[in-house]
Amino acid sequence: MIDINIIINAILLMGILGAFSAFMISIASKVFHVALNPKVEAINQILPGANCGACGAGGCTDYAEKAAKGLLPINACRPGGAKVASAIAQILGIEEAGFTHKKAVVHCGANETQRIKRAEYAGIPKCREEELAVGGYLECTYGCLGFGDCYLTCPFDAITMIEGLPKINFKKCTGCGKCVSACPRNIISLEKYDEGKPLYAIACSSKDKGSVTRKICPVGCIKCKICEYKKATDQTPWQTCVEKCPTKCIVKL
Amino acid sequence: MAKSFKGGIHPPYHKNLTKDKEIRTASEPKEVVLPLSQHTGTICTPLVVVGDTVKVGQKIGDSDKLISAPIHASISGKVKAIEPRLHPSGSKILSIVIESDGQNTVHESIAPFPPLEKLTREEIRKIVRNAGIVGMGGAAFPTHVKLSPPPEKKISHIIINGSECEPYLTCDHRLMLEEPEKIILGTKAIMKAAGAINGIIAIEDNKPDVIKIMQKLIKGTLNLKVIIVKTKYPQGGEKQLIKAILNKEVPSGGLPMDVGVVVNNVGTAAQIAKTLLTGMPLIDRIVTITGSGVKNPSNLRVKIGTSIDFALQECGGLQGETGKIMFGGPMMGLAQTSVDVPITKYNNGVIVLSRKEVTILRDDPCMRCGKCIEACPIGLMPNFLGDAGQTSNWKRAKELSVKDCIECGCCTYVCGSERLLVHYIKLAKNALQNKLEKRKTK
Repeated sequence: MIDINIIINAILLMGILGAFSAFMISIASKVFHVALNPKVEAINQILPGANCGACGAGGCTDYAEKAAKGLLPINACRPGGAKVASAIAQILGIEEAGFTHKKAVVHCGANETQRIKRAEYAGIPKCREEELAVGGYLECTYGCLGFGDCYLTCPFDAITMIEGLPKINFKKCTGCGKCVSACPRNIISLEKYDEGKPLYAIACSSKDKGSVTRKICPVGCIKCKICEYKKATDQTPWQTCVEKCPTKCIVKL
Repeated sequence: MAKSFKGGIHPPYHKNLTKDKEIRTASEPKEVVLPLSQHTGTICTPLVVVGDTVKVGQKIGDSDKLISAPIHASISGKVKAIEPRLHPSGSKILSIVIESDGQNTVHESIAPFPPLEKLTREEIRKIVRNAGIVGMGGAAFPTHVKLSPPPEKKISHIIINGSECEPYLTCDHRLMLEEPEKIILGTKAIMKAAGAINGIIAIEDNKPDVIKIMQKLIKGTLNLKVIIVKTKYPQGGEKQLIKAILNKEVPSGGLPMDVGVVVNNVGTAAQIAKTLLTGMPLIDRIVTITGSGVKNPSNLRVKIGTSIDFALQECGGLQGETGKIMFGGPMMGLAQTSVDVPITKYNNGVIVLSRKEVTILRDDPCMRCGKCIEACPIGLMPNFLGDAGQTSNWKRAKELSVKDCIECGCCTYVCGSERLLVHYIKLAKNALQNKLEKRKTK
C-alpha cells in the first residue's frame, strides 16, 4: 500500500523549497537589477534577425545597442532597408536618414564552358583555397573561379550557381556585402539600385590588354572604348552600350 | 649516433636520378624574365625603363625597405618590357623582361672584393645586401637581415644547412661535392658578419661522400664543425636543425636569432663566397631538374629568370604524359600552371611527375588515428587544425597556434584519410593574416 505520509512529506518539502527559491529570486531580481534601455529592446524587435553583420556590428542585438547609443548610423541595416531605418528613427525620435538600396553585382560573365583552363585542380573545392594554392587554374587571372564561395556565404539564399557562375536574385539580395568579402578575386561589388529601374553592369573585371583577353575569353572586355564613345553621344547611353558592345560584356540585369 | 628531432617522416627519396650527375652550365637563354619580388618582403621598384641597355650584374631593381633584396640583370641586352608576368607563386607580379644581345658584357662595377680578413662586419653585410643574396634553400629570406641581429641578441652559432631533406633534390649535394672550399669561405664570412664564434655544417647521413670531403677540409679549423644529422624529413627545417644539433627550441612566433642561432643554406654560403671572390651578384643558381617526366634529369646551373620551358629543353625535354610540374621539392614545392614561369633565386628544383605518379587525395573525414600528431615536427595537432580550417573556425585555429606550422606536409603524407591538412592550415593562416591586415588598416 502507498504510505500517504511519504506523499505529504514530499509535497511539503518541495513546496517549501519552491517558496524559498521564489523568495530568493525575487530578492535577487531587485538587488541585481540591470537597467535595460527600452529603446534597445524595441529596435531589436524590428530588426530582421539575420545576424549578417553588414551593419558593422557583431549581430542584430549588438547593432540595436550601438544604434541606440548613436555609435552606428540608423540606416546601416541592409536587410531591413528603408522600413527598418524609418522605424528606428521613430523609436529614437530623430530625423530619418534615408536609405539607398544596394545590390550585389558579379563582374564576370564567363561560364564553365567559356573559361579556358591551363591546369587541372584537384584540391579543396573552394575559391579562396584554389587562389591560394596555385593562383588560379584559369587562363584569366581576374575572372570567376566558379567554386561558389559567395553562394556558400550568402545568408539570404540569394545566389544560385548557374554553369559555374553566380547569379544574384535581386528580390532576395539585401546588399549585405558578405559575398563581396568572400570572393578572393574581388569581382562582386555593391551597386546602387532603384526599384523598378534596370541595373546595367560590366560583366568583366579583366585588366589585361585587349589582345590578351581576346585570346582567353569570348565574353571579356577588350577595351575597344566603343561604350565610352557611344555613352557621350547617345540619349539612352546604357541601352546603346549593351547593344553595341562587341563581346556583349555590358549587360542589363 | 646521428642527431635528430621528434616526429618527421621517411618518404622515398628518389635522389639516385641526379645524385651522380655533375653540375652542368645551361646554354644562354634568349630572354629572361626577372620578377621584382624574388624574396620575402617588399617588392622592388624598377631602376631601368623599357629600351635601356643593361649589362650582366647591373642592379635593375631595388627597394629602400630593410626586408628586401635588390634584383640584378642576369644577362646583357635590352629591356624589352616591364609588365606583370606569371610568378612561381601563381599570381602576376611586375617583372623586367630582358632580351639577350648574346654578348654577356659584364657591368663595369663588378670587381673582386678584398680578402675576408680585411673586411669589417658592416662591409660584409653591405656586400651581401648589394649582391641581392637571399636564402637559397627555398624560403628566400634576405640574408643580410639574418646577418644583422639586433645588438641585444648575441649570435653564438651559425648552422650551414646541407641536410637537403626534400626528396628528389640534389643541387646542394652536388654543390658540396664540387665546391666545398666556397662553402667554407662563405661560412667564415657569415660567421664574421653575424659575430658568431661557432660554425656548424649540418649534413644528413645519406651523403657520406660529402661528409668525408668536408671533414678533411675543415681539419685544423677549431671553430668549424661538421655535424651528421639523421636522414629524415624535415631535417632541413631551421627549427628542426637547431633542435637536433643544439637541443634548443625556437620560441613560438620567434626567429632562430632568439636562441642565438643563424641558419643558412649551403647555396647561400657558396653564393656569398662567389660574390666575395668575383664581385658578381646573385645572377645564377643550381637547379635540380628531375622526375620521371624528364628525359635527362640533371643538376643545371641556370641564369635567374630563365623559363622552365628553356631549362627543360636543356635536359632533353619532357617524356611521357606529364602530370604535374613543381617548383621546389615534392613535399613543400609549388605546383605550376604554366611552363613560362621563370626560375627565381629560391627555386632549388623543378620536378616533373608523370600522370601515373600524381595521386589525387580523397579528402575523407578524419578517423582520429593520431598519426599526424606523431609525425608533426613542431608538435601541433594537425587533425584539429584541419577541422578548424574546413569549418572556417579561424578562432580555434589560432588557439591551436596555427602560425607555428611550417607547412612541411608530414601530416598530409601520413594521413590515412588522405586529408588535405596542409591546404586547410594554409587557408586558416591566410584568413588570420587577412583579418590582421584589415584591423591594421582600420
